[in-house]
Amino acid sequence: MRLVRGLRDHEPWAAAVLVDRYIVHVRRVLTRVLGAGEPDIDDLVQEVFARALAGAKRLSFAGALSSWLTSIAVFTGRETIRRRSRWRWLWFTADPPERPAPQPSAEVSDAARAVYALLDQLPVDERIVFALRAVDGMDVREVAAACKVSVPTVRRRLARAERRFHALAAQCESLSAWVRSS
Amino acid sequence: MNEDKRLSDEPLRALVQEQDAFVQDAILAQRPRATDAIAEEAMRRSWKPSRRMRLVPIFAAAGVAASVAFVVAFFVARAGRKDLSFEVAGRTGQTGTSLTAQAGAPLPLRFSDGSVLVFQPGAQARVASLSDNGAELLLDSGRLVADVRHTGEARWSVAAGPFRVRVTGTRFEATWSPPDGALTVAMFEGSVVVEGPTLGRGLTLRGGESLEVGVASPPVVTRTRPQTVVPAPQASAPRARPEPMPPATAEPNITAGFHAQASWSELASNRRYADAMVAAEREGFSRLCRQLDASSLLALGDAARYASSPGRARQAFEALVRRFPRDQRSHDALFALGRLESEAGAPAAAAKWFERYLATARNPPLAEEAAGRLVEIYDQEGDAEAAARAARGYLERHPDGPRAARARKVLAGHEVRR
Repeated sequence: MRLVRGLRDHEPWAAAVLVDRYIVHVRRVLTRVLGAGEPDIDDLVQEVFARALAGAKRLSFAGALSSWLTSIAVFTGRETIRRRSRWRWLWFTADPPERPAPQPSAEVSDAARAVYALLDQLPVDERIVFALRAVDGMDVREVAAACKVSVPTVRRRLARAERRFHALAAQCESLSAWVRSS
Repeated sequence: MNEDKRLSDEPLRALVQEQDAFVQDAILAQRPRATDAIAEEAMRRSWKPSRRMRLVPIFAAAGVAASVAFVVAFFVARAGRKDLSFEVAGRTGQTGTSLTAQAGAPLPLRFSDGSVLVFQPGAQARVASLSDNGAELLLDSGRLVADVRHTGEARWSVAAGPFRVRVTGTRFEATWSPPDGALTVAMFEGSVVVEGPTLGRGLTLRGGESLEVGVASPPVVTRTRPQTVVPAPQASAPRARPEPMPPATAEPNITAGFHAQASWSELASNRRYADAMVAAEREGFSRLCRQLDASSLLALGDAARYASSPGRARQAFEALVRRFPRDQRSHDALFALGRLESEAGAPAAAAKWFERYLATARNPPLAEEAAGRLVEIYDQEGDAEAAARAARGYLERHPDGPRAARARKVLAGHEVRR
């Protein structure tokens, strides 16, 4: 509660503690949504905390801090995906150059890149619920809170996303070793 | 059929593990400096009152239309425009030529747009390039006084060592000392942006401010009274043939200029931490540490931290701990001292403060951070016993905390070694 009060009162120590306590969480959510090869991850983490501080006056209780930051991170990730899509359309280019993810261990890294290449082909809202549910393992209520939509909406998006994703995965060479008949 | 096939969970699980390792490694590599920098930048961007954001939606649509018009106008207007030229001692100057102002004789460069740059005696510089709305200068050493004509689109820059002063129209003075790696910029009017290794994304200086910065030292900005430093404008003089700039000896004593009288606490509450530190030094930093109450001492320490003065921050926090040992803010100071030592690369001292912080109160508000920092410090220092003890302590109090995974990893490693 003291942290929330500090944030609402614009106390510098509270900003430092918020970043210290939640930087791993914020970075993890952004990485789930965008992939570990995201080149602007540091700037996006910065953006999430700047938005969080800007909205700190609306905070009411400490228990909500984590889900509140999750929803800001999801919103920031969604904006990034949409902005990239627009730029790709505008410049008629292929994917932007990716910074190689650290620890490139052959097969898994190939699979990771393949998964996010497939996610790139999904509509952004379906991609996000899939990344949070299937990759991160959040339950549907947490996903709904993070995306600020209802639980039935999450279920619908998830069902569509899974259908599309598994269909694409079945055609993907890098993932063929992990595709099973259902 | 594709619908009959599903991707198994294995690659997704492996993916999650890889991502988690990536996230942990990235954060551990950055901590603690980067987290402080993120907090500071977020505060700078978000906790400053600004009406601008409210106007963004209104201006966004207008901006698109204006951008299109601007691009068209830019290319139309640019056609047929010539690059600037300049004269040195009555002759046309050449880009790239090294120019040295001899002892006792300032060397003025007069540009075709009316801008005048005067190299002070002993200064050495070059005009690296010219464009239709500005020039790039390289100040090799010495002092330069600039009067750049404000045209609305002027683009000038002065490079000095690793620093760069970006100018749009202003009067200022820049001094570069290569042996010390020190740059001084004193503003008479207008504004400039100074970029360099210790200046983050660039520091904006406005009329009446001066900056001292080194290659490895933090910037110090001093406010001065503009009217004492700006020579009276030559209203009747045509801008195309400006009066020569006053020689160095006639320049006002800007470095000893008048300090604004705002108190350190007012400046700190406005997040002008560098200015707050200048004011605190003027008021007597040690005296403040002896006389301020607990709340003010904490604010003074925070201001010093954010002004990149760790020594002064340590002094303020230690005074708070010593003078008000039972005050709640004294606990905050203990944690802050741990962070300072951690940032200074003194893990043993940092651990001492964090241990003391945890021992001082039963459940202090930053207990999770302090306990987590202890796990990280002891683990990084290779002190397996202390790391295991800290990890056990952490997991007892914060089994679901953000550093629980790290603590379990430390404990597992310790068990394996035993």
